[in-house]
Amino acid sequence: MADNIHLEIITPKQVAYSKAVDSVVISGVEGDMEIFKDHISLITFLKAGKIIAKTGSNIDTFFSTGGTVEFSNNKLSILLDNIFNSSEFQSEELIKLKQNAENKLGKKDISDEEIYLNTQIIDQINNIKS
Amino acid sequence: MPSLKFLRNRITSVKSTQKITKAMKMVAAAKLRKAQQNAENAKPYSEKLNSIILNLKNSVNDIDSAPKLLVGNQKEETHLCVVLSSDRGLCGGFNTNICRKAKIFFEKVIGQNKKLKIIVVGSKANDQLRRKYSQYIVDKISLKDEKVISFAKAQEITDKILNLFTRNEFDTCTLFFNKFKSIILQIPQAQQLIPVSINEKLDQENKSNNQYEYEPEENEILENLLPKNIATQIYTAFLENQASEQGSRMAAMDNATRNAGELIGKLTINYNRTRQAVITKELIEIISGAESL
Repeated sequence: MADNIHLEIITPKQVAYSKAVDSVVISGVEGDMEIFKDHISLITFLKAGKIIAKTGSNIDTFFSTGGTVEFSNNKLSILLDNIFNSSEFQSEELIKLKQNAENKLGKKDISDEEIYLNTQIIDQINNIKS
Repeated sequence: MPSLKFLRNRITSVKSTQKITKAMKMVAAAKLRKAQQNAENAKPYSEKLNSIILNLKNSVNDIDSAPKLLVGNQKEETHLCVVLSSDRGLCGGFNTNICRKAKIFFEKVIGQNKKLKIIVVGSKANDQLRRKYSQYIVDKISLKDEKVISFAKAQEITDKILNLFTRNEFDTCTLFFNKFKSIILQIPQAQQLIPVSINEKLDQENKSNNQYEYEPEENEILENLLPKNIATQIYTAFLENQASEQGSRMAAMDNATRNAGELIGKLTINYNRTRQAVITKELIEIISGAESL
């Protein structure tokens, strides 16, 4: 596949990733999806999970607890609250995020949606750590 | 004429002040570079978020069902003002400029017989505003423990604002901060947070864009994105403010160092003249004493 999409991962701190890639797997709130060239213009949310950018045989994996995705004109912009690349999967900060999510789950006045998102965070963090 | 000892003490004291201001200027310059970098890095995020929200706003047709954060309460009775300042002084007109801008707005609101609520961030704004507006201040947020402003802090302030909003305690929210233009120029800004103000230029650019597929529904996305947008705006304002603070401090300290240099020059001339006068006087005394013998 010669044609690429341009992937840009942006966090409040910096532009973390900006490269041409073949396809990107994201975990949207309504299910995982893989975006290829000429996908329809799209705006959606991410739940906690991996973001996998594939270019030929090269695969870059990131983890985030949530964000927003916009795709248009073969440009994919991912706005993330936080980002961890594969070398940071064991970092302290992830443990903190997990505890944060657990604390939120412990509260009484929590909506179903929040329960879902926070459970996802915990599950996914457990998942990548193992 | 002041005594020699007095002048000598004065010179030493001004010299040590100069040393301090010089060091502060250097520190501010180093911090400024970092703050500027941070502000620069945060720009793509807020711009992108803004453009997504504008896009969504254009596709929402039914105002009644649109999220309140986007269109507001349809009235302007109570104004909430968030004034961002620093926790430290010695930075020229930095805090005063924000407060002046805010005060003009406050007077306008009070003049129109509308209700006013104020959240002050940073102790300097509190110091300047509490004398006259203490009955309006609803919350004070200190930055004492924050070395570098984190996104979490912006989130914390946002949560407070949203909490007030859901309890219908205000209708519009305005943020006051300094926009960093250059080291010698920072522009105090008033930015409306709720309802979302539209950047006309961006709006024009976006009109040409194609339609999007939304997943989930537009309104649901908006409801999630708008609080995030507010947090981002506050965070960006924080970063701008920080760059401005350091820039302002650097300029102020540069001035102070220069003034101290001038003062030292003047004092030294004065000191030398006085010393010479004393010597001459003593000589005259000795000579006239010798003559009389």
